[in-house]
Formats: sequence, C-alpha cells, structure tokens
Amino acid sequence: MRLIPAVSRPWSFVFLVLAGGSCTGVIGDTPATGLASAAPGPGRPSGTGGTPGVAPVPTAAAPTVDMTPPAGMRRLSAAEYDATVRDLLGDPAGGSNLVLPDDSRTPFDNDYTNQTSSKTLVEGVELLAADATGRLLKDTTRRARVVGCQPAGAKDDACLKSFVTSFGRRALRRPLADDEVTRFLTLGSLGQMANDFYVSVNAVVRAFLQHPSFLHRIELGTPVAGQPGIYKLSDDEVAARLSYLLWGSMPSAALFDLADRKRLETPDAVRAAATDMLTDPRARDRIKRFHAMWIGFEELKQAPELADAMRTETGALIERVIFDDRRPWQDIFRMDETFVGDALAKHYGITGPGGTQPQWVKWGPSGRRGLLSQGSFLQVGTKANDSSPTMRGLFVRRNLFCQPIAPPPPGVNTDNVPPAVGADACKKTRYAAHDQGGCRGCHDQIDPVGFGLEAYDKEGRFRTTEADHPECPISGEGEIVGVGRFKGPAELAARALEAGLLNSCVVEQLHRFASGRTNLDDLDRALVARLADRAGKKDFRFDTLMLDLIGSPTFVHRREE
Amino acid sequence: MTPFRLSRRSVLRGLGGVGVALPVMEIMTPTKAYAAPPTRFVMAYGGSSLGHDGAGPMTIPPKVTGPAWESTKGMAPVATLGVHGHVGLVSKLKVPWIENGTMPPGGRTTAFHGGTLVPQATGRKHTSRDAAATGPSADQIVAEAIGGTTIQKSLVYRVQPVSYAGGTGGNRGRLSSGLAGKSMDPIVSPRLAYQSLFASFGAPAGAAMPAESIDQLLRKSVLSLVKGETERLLPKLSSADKLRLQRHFDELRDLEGRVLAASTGAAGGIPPGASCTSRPADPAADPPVGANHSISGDQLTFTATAGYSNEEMRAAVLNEFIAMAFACNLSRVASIMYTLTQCFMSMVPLIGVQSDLHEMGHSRGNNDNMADGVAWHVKHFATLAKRLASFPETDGKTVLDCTAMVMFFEGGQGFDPETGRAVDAHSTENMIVVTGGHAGGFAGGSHIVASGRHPAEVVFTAMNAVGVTTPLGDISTPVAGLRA
Repeated sequence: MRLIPAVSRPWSFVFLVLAGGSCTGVIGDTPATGLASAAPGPGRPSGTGGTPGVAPVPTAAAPTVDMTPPAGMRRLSAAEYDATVRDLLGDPAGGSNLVLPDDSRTPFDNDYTNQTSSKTLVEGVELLAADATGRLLKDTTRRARVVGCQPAGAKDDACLKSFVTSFGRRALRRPLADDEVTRFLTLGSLGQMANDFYVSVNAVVRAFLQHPSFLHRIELGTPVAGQPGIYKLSDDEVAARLSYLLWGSMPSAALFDLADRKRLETPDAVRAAATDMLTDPRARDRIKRFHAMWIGFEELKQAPELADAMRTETGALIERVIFDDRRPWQDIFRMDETFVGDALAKHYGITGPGGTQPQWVKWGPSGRRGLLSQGSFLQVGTKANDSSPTMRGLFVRRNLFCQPIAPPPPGVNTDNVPPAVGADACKKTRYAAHDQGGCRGCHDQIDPVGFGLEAYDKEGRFRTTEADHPECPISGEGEIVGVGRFKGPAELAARALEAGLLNSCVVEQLHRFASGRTNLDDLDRALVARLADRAGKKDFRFDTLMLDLIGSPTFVHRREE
Repeated sequence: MTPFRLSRRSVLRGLGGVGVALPVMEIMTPTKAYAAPPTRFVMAYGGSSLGHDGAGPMTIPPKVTGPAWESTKGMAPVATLGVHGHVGLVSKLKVPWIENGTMPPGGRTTAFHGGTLVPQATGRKHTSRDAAATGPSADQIVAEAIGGTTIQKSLVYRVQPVSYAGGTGGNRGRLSSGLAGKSMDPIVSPRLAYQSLFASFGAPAGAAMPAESIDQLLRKSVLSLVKGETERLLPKLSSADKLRLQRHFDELRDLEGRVLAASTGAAGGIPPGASCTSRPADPAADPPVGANHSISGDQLTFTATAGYSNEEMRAAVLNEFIAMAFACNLSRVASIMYTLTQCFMSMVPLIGVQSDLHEMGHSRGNNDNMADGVAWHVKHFATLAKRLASFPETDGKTVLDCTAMVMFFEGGQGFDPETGRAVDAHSTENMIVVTGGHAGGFAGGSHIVASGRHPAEVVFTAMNAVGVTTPLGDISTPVAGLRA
C-alpha cells in the first residue's frame, strides 16, 4: 500500500479534460471553474526570483523520505548511450540513434515506462558494441589507456583480471563481485586460441557493452526499516543517478571515488557532490538539452545557418542565466538582451552588434524579451506554411504550463487549418470555427494564447499582416483565459510568470526528466509541490532547484513500483 | 585482427566453461529434404495516397482487368522490370470510417493521418489518432503459422529512417505488430539487417561456407555470457523490473539461438532445401541520414541532402536481404515499410519534384506526380518480386511461385469525411493493394476490381494463399478471383 504524505498542494494545475466533446476545467482539488483560478494565489509558487517588492519568506520544509516516488529500471537513451561510450572508451563516434529503436519523446527521451526490449534493440546493441570495440582496438593509444596494463603475451591472466576488474567497475557503474570477474575471465580462452591477448579484450569489452547493468540503470538498494517498499540506494546507485541527471553519462573517476569511500550516504554529501558536478561543462550541455526537449527547440526547422544562430542564441541565454550570472531562472523569460550576430538581429528587426560574431545586444523597443521571443521558441507549433494559433496555444498549455489537454475526439480534423469562410480568409475568421459546439471548451483555452503570438511568424520575424493574406491585419492580442490578456511573447511570459504557471511547470518537468517518468502520481505531485514551494520561497535559481531536488532524501531512495 | 578458421571440435574444446548448448532446430537437422517448398509472405506499405486534392480521377489503376491489364503511370515499373504476370493489383478498395457514431468492421476514424495503416495491417477498427496497433498484423499471424523453425520467424524492416519533420515517426513508422498487439520496432539500419541475418555466416559473399572463425566464436561466447549475467540478475529485481528484464532476456535468448543456428546449419548455415548458395554482400556503412526539411523564408527548401537518406539504396538492400532470406530459408515472412505514414521524404532526388511525398498530394504536385510517387514504391516491390522469381525451387518452381505479396498505401483518392471534400488525397476511397506471387494459387499478377472491399480483405486472401485462415481482426472474407 502506498502512503500518500500529508502535504499541501500549494499550486494548482489547470487540468483540461475533454468529455463528450467539450472541455471541462478541473483545477487540482478545486471544483471546475474554468481557468480563473489559474491566477496567482496563496500557495502558488509565485516566487519571481528577485522581483522587487517580494518580501522574503521562510524557506519551506524539505521533502521527506516518505515522499519518495516510484522508480524502475531505466535503459540508457540513445543520447545517454553515446555519451557513456564516449566517457567509457574515449570514443566520440555517437550515432546509436540510427541503429537502436526510437526513444519516444514525452517530451523527454528517457521515459522508462515506454521502454520495451525488442529484437531490434538487442541486435542493435550487439552491433554497436562490436563497432565501438573495433574502433578501440584499432587505436592502440586509446586501447592501452582503456586496458590499463601491458600484456606479457596472449595469455596474461593477471593483466586480463586487472582489466576486467577496473573496466567492469566503470562499465557497470559498480564493483564486480568475484564470481562475476571469474565468469568474464573465461573469455580469456578466446585470446589464447587466437594467440592474441586483444581478442580477449575484444570479447570482454563487447560483453560489458551488452551487459544488462551497462545498458540499464538498475537500482536495488536496501530496505528502509519502517518504510515499506522504500529502499536506500547504494553509493554507486546514487552516483549513477547523479551523473545521468547532471551529465547524461556515467560517473567520473572522482564520483566513483566518492562512492567507493561511502561519501554519498547523506543528502548533504550528495548535494555537495552535485554542486561540484555542476561546474563540469557536461552539466551545461545537459541543462540546455533539458530545456531544448521541454521547450521544443532541439530540432529546428530553419535553414542550417539560421538554425545554428538560433540555437547559439538560446543556449547562450540559458547558460548566462543559470551558470554565468546565476540569476533567477525566470530571467530566461524576461532577459532584455539577446545573443545574436548581425544576420539574426536583422531577422528580428533589432540593432545588431556590428559583425557576424554573436554578442549580447539589447532587445530594445522591439517589445521582445527572453526565450519566448526567440526564433527557437516561435518555430514550435507551426505548420509548413504558417504559424498555427491552435498548435502554438496547445504547446504553451501542455509544455510550458504543464496543463494536460486531452486530444480532440475521433473524427476531428487537425491536419488542415480551418477553411476560409466565404471570401474572408483571415485567420481570425477561419479559426472562429473553433468557437462552435464541442470544440469551444478546449479551443477557448488554446487558441487565444496562440493568437497572442501571431505577430511573430514561424521563424520569429515580426509581422503586421498575414503572410498569404496581406489584407488580413494581425492584432497580436491574446489571452491566457483566467489570467489576463497579453500581446506578444514578452507579455505572455510576464503573465505566466506572474501567475506562477512557469514556476510550477519547470519543477514538474524537471522531476519528469530526473525520474524518467512522464505520468506522475500523487506522490510525484506531492514532491513536486514541495520542491516548487521551496524554490518559490528562495531565489528560484535553477541550479538551486536542482540541488534541492538532488539534496532531498528522496533522491537517495527508491520506492518499489 | 585477422580472421582465421578453427575446426568446430577444437573450438568447443577450447571454450571450456563458455561452451553453449545448441538448441535443436529444423535447420540443424541433417539434409532434411522438403516434400514441397515452403510458402512465404511479404507485407509492404507506402505512406502515400494515390491522387491529388481535387484533381480526380487518378490514373494509377488500369482500366483492363485480369492478367492482361494495361500499364499505367503508377504501375509502369511492373512492365519495365518484366514482371507483368507476377505483379498486379486489386483496385477500388475502401477502408470504411465511422459514420453516425457507428464504427464498421476494420473501420477508421475520420482523422486521416495515423488512422489508416492499422485497419489494413491488422483488419481491426482503429479509433485512435495514434497509429499504435491494437492487434497483431497479418505478417505476424502468418509468421506464427508458417515460420516453423526458421532462424528469423519474420523480418521487420523500414526503409525511410527518419520522418524529416523531427524524430523518427513513432508509431507512424511501425508497420508490424506482434501477437500481443503491440507495434514492433523495425530494423532501419541496413547494416543491422545484415548483421541480424548473415553475419553469423563465415564466408565472404559468394563463397562457400567455411569452418567457424574466431569472430563467430567470440560472438557466441559473448552472447552466452551476457545472457547468463542477465539471467542471474533477474531474481534480484522488483517484480516490475523483472518483467522488463525478462523481456530483454527472452530477446537475448532468441538472438543467441539465431546466431547458433545460422552458424551450425548444414553447409555452414544454409538450411537444407534452400535455393541459395551464398550470402549477399555486406552493405558496410549505412547511407547518411538526411536532415529535416528546412524552412527558408516562406519556402520549404527541398535539396538532395535534406529529407533524403538514399532510400533508393536502402530499399534495394533491404529487398535483397528479404529475397536472400527467403531463398536461403532463413525466414519465410517479411514486412517492409518503404515510407512512413504521412511521408515527408523528399521527392527531389527520386522524381525531381520540389516537394515531399505528402505535400505532393496537396499544394505541391498533381495527379501525375502522385502516380510517380506511387511508382517508386511499385518499382521496389516489383524488384523484390523479380528477385524472388530468380531463385529456382526444388520442384522446378521459383520462390516467387511459393510467395504471396501485398503492398498497401496510406490512402487512395476520393471523399474525405474530415473536410467533406469529394475529391481529396485524405481519403480511403479508391485505394489499391499491389499484389505479387503465386503461392496457393494467388493471382498476384492480375488486376482485380473489388469495389468497396476492404484492403485487409486482399491481405487476408494472401494469408489464405499461404495456408493461414485465421481471421485478420474483423476481416474473414477473401476477395473472389484473387486465388485460382
């Protein structure tokens, strides 16, 4: 039986449920009242991170062990697999995603509840292992570094044992038991038959790269007295949790050393280790990728030069706010500068830095601020030929506000935009079709958000009329129903921040990313609420939020599913 | 490392504790002769409709029925490749949709993309917008029935590696579904397909099979070790994780069995009764995967590198593997998804049209372009048929004579219940299923008009032709005239 901790629900989710062809607003525990109660209120994590006038409040209590959410065995995503092979073998080849089955995006690529083994997986892993080992053996310098000893001949049991023990500890992210080492050493007979020590190395490396404990992050732990179903993770299991969350890869030598010395036993020790790990460049890449998958700019549809410039721009913003300036996370959405060269500045219609190399320049009177004003965000929710107010609004509601919205009922056309009404082909008129009948319940919540971004085309350029219909003016006015009206991405971000919608969602999405589960239950929500509450009462820095999550007792425990 | 050969006896002696038990499989029995050649089954798919919005009627189906049907633009490769008589089609098919709240057998929602594959592949009603299957696909039902103890009970391939609109397509990139009804991951990499089928054979392409090499031995030893370690881990896991790892263990065990069987069969891996004597060439590296389509200004730009991953070569290679697997009796069933549902593959390098396949049915093409897009699929399907016809069977027939082949498409052309338009690419009226082969009297080379019949009924007829009468979902009526 799962015990639900008695915690408050300090913030509410707007939960749009499609029933009988219409949306019914159900907000957390409160009666259905539409979106009105999405406005900021007591308990919502409205911490705006240093906003003037917000008085400091006592820090909320940290999560407790009984809030530990369920956790299951997680297979390395293709990105994690590539990074792990890079760090384990010094092999940057990558490309496993072209051989392994798809990682589903929800929006993250690591939801273990969607992972199922298959023929394609086991055969793909076998092929990748052979490829990586082949590259290793051809590179004698790298081979010597990985093997760690110089064999005296084809049969060198001591060297092979040393290699199996040390490499296995890194590959499986835990020390090998003696009987495991013995079993791996049987592969030494192959080298003897071939009269080549490295035939044995070949077999050992390939076996480790296909080992279930390499391919999966398997957590066992030890039962916690008085906490049925909860297990305390070993130091090695904690090290792997840390490294895959913060780096998307295996632990470093220093982290293995901490685990070996049992220095990852307490939340404080884990938090200290994580603090160090955040200084590693891999942490920057990992946190940028978290935002890219969440906010939808991992794959940009623009021409390569423009896409690269946008990716650089957004990455620089995230790095600056989180790592360089260590600002409140919300500044990602309200920064008044952006990192562009002249070409992208011209694209946006702002004054550039005077060269091709990107520099920080002011958004100025453009009305733009922060990430939502950048092309990397404004390209989401678009059709091939134009932006779609519905798709943009849906993306904002689902991804940025974490409001689950049921799909339209069977038979509803979502592939084509609404047709022109007589001679009037303007979007406002066409999309008015959504205001009718059963469509209205959901689209009243979705489309006004998208219309507030309409003054920015699918590449993020400002416009005043529709591309294909210059006779159709764009007002650019939108509304988060129940929160307030806005005009453009900067005001959308401001309204969402004021209402605490982004604050809530970033914690929820971070928990999804960290736990590898998309569908959250009451335990997850309780934990997320507690973390969001704490962040809202501090400065809401993203690194602090991550450290709060990592430094929680729940991070070093797992609950049996 | 230079491969060298060892006798099997010395290999097993040297293995010591790493030796593995060999499962008894049909292909390992000595020189077993087949009373009659086995039957085979191919299910293929193209993620395209057949005609353009508002520009009917399409010109793909011939007017003449029977074996002497005339060539059309969409079916032209059949004549070009000289397989007229072996490849044909059934036309005027229709996947019905929900109307007045009633879902017909094998019906679909009115949502088009993502809603039409499952009814055709499984014969089941499909009520979701997601393309995830809810029942077994025809190929998997057939594989269970006729796969016997072949090394690969079925081959599940996909040619188009990614969607070119972000990601790899999810369930829109999965044609087959297992007996439990779950969509299956296809093999997309030609290299992996080769590894899966042929890497256990020790000889170079075209050469006789040799004694076991150290590479083969190493592969088997590693798999045995990994399987053992997985098995040891299972009891330590929670019940939920145990289920997950058990599935992985089962797959490892199956892989080990396939590797063992492939390397220990008669003649070094070629099963008795096979029509092949050698394996195909190793395709080496996979072709690079093309970028997503890029947006430049207000235009989608279609270049030779964006939206294209040399699907031409990928299709040819995977087709060849299917043919060789059939001829070598390594497998008897294959599914091959040439293009993803709502296919965004560029048509520039294939037919020179500045569009992807999907948009060619809407704003960037015409009926002739759509026929050319269909013809690209037909070309590869017909090439596979031709290759199968090149392998003689023991009784004087060919492998194609013992095969039933079907290829269906995402849509046809006609009424679109979503928009109410009478002539639309988003329609499941006027669909075709391309057919091939002659197993069980299958009239794969004929043109048959089956007005209003479900495409899955054609698939079901092909199943019947290889001796499988299990209903395909809601479908249990064959198409008259499609079998002699």
